[in-house]
Amino acid sequence: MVTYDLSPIVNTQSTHPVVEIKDLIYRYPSSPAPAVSVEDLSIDSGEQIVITGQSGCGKSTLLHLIAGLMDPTSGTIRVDGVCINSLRGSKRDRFRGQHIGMVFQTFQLLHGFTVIENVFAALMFSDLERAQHRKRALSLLEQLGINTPNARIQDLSVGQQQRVAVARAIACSPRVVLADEPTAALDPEFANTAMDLLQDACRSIGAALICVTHDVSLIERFDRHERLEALSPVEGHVGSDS
Amino acid sequence: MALSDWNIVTRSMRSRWFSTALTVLTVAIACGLMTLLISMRSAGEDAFKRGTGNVQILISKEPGPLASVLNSMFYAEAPGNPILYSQYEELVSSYPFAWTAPTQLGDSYHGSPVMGTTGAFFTSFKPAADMVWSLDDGVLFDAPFEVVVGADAAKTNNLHLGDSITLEHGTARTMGGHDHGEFDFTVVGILNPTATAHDRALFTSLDSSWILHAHDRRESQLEHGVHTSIDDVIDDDRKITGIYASIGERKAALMQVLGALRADPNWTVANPASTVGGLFKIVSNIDEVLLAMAIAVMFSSGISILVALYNSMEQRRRQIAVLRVLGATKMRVFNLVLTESAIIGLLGGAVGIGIALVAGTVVSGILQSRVGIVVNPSLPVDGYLMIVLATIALSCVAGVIPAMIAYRTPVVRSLRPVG
Repeated sequence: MVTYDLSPIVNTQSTHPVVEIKDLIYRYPSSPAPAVSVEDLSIDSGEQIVITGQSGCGKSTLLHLIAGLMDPTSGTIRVDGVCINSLRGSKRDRFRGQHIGMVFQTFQLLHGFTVIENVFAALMFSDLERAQHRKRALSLLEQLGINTPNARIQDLSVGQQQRVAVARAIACSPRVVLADEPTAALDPEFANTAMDLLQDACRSIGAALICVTHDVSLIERFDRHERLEALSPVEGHVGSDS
Repeated sequence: MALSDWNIVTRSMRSRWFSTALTVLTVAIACGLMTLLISMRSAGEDAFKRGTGNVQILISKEPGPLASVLNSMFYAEAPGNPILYSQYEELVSSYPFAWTAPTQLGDSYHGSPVMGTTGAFFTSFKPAADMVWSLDDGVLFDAPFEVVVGADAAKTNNLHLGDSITLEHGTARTMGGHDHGEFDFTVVGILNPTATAHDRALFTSLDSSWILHAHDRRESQLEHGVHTSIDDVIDDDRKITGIYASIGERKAALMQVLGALRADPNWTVANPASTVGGLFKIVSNIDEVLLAMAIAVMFSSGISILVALYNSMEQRRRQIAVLRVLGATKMRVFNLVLTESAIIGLLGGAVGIGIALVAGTVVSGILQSRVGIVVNPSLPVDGYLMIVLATIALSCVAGVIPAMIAYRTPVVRSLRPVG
């Protein structure tokens, strides 16, 4: 396992679970039935958990709720002891930038920007001094095997883009990394490498990892597996599977 | 170097460089047009007022004061109603003028007007309030058939000291002109520029003008090829077309003389400065229409900023959503778009002022060569600064709607994989 030399930007000596969800219900505005329902889910620091479920069961919605990109209909979501859904406006955005990293199925890198600028993009919303950004980004990219920091994103291979996406997600030393179908766009051979990369990176910085996927072959890689049951074609209910 | 909001904004602009450049150009043209109109507005009036020099009273027999000023001081047309020199002498003896300069217009050299006058024109009349006549080379005329050439006229006609020229009766604009080929005039002096219409003219003595006209009369009365000298000039040939006059510093006397002269229906009396002021009052109505049009163009350029940024928002939704996920606040993405809009305004304003300065120089050159007046279409530095700030403000207003779209970008929906 590669270790990543990343000092935490935000001092977090919290003894709380990294993610703690209680009585979460999310309903789409157009539907009275719950789309996502999670009674109790707690994830400890550094824990790696995979959530599976069929397409449309609400896996991505759950991640968006944890990231504070959506508001639950009821219930609470605590990240690093802070109820993210009670934070308003810019406080929530800043909290997300400093405590949560995200990796997307299609990487969601900033095209037109260079590799290092994509990592800078995460750091620019952190509390890290600007003078430190370059050193941190270069060190991280080097550890992830990217030695072309000034290459443009669109000029990279898919594998390299994945590495940049991971670098961006962990650049701020987040407490939790949320990965939304991280291998869905990759061929099976490369999917394993990509997951190794992501899991090693999270272990190295002590971040918890919540990975949602419909790929059941990934289950054995994780300490814990939760299954999100579909409540309706677009709805889900989380239940322990292991 | 870390990434900054500035980098994001400039990268976004560069990624759509063609659209950005077109939008900047639209703003620049509108801003340039408005700057040029504003600067020309005051510069034009200043230039005309400058051309009237220290003349307090202009006396002629033209149909009205405006025609009198335009024809006698700006050489627009040759004045058509002559004054007998004896009338001039009687007039001068009747009023307490500080100085007078009789002028005779009607001849030309290759389109440049030729004025017959006396030495008082160069000693008492100042072409501009702060300027006296000076010679670049040679001397003032002292005898018949000597000519002193204005700076622009010398340049335009490539005239040098000692050159021999013949004049034409009439001006470039009048019909039925003919050559005064029998009389050679010698260039004895070249004047320094005065930045007034007088730079376009040539000057000779009244005697010279009268001999030409006496010759025309004698040829029509006697025979072709007759020789004419000053001795052949009769009273009826001694005509002038205008009188430049000043009372001096006595304001009360000026009002009194103006009143008395205006009461005499034989004369057209103008106070050149107030006549030019009156002219610009009339012109200002058209000017205001042009200014309104320029403001309308400015607003349409504001709309073009809005459209350009609005259209770009669809492409940028994903980028904005990613920035939001990374921790950018709604206000920050709002400011990113507004900053882009302000930069377009700043660039458009700066380029627009550049366009206005270049266009002003071109217009000024054309006016100087064709009309002889020097218009200096410039504004004080804070005037330019105000225009740039106003352009930036307008651009920011135009950027508010696209910035609101950025502010309200639905993050989750914008991150969904396409297809």
